[in-house]
Amino acid sequence: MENNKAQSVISNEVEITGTIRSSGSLQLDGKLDGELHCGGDAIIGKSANIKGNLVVNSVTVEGTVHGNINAKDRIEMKSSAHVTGDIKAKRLSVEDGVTFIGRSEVNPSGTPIAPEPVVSPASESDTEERSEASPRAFARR
Amino acid sequence: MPKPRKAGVVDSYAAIKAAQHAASTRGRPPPTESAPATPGQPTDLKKLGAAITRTAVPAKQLIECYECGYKFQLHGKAAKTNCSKCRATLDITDHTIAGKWNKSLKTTGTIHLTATGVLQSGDLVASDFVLEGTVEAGTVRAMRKLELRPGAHFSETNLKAPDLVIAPGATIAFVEPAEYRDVEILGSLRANLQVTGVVTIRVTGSFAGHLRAAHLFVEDGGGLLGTVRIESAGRAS
Repeated sequence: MENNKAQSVISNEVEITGTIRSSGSLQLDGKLDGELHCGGDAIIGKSANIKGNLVVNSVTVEGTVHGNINAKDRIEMKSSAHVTGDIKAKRLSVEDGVTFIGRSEVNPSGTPIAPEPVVSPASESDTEERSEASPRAFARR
Repeated sequence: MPKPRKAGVVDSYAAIKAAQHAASTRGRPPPTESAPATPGQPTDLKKLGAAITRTAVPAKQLIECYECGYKFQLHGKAAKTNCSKCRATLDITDHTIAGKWNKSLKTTGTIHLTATGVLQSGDLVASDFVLEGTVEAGTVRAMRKLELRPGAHFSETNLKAPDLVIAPGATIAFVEPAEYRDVEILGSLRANLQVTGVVTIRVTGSFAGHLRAAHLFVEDGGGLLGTVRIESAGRAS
């Protein structure tokens, strides 16, 4: 990471069991069996393997994460990323090639994406009643 | 008829012409690569190549026969052609439907059902289909891409296409599970979606619901809400 802030690096030869807390930016290339709390930006390297939740400001994932990711700002998943868990962030960037299984809660605009269609009985011929609440696909103007 | 001069013989006429030529080029700088070219001539090889390409290669378009599914290339412009395999006569023009429509229509071009267009019956088959209006009845089959724009009103069972595009500003909700090859979202989509290829969520796009796909690409700023399962076939556990 090319910034002026101090950066902690955990190399790929290091295995940690427990919780890591960092107020600055952090690069993790080793194994972590526990949680990561990072006040700055975190980089999960290609060789990294995390079994636990991540609470970060923003994170770039290139390695493997089995756990939930909660980012205040941004989650970036590179093509080599494997994420199994739920993610929550303001912004999301995903490269083609990732493996991601979980729930996502990313809505940068903050507006509801599309209302849940309400399923109600409707006849095929009655086109006037084919409103936005009918059990059909619809688009709002 | 002028008498041909012998090569290698310096006579008085040749000497005078050489002296005149030397005098005229004395004050002129030697020609360099950066010297401006004469008008009408390309200045570099790229432009020269582009000019050649423009004149030499006619326009090509990929045609997919709506009768047998055979794909072939067509050079140049035409309104109709014949399938190379089944010999069916194919309409290859684009159509725009702006009013009520009750007939069947097949084309290898694009059909655009505008905001005022209403499909009341009939089957529409096109290579690409742009839906802005209403599909009350009948069927729509796009052989390549179906684009849903703001104002589109339809039943999912009436639409068939391998690829789906949600246009910017469109808010679409599918009730039933849907399956596509590639999906590009520039608007807003809520669905239970299974995709065999790539799901692309652009910066203006957002998806909500259940997503299962081989590949996912989200531009920075795209929205993703719901359960997601992204696994390419080679990596599936």
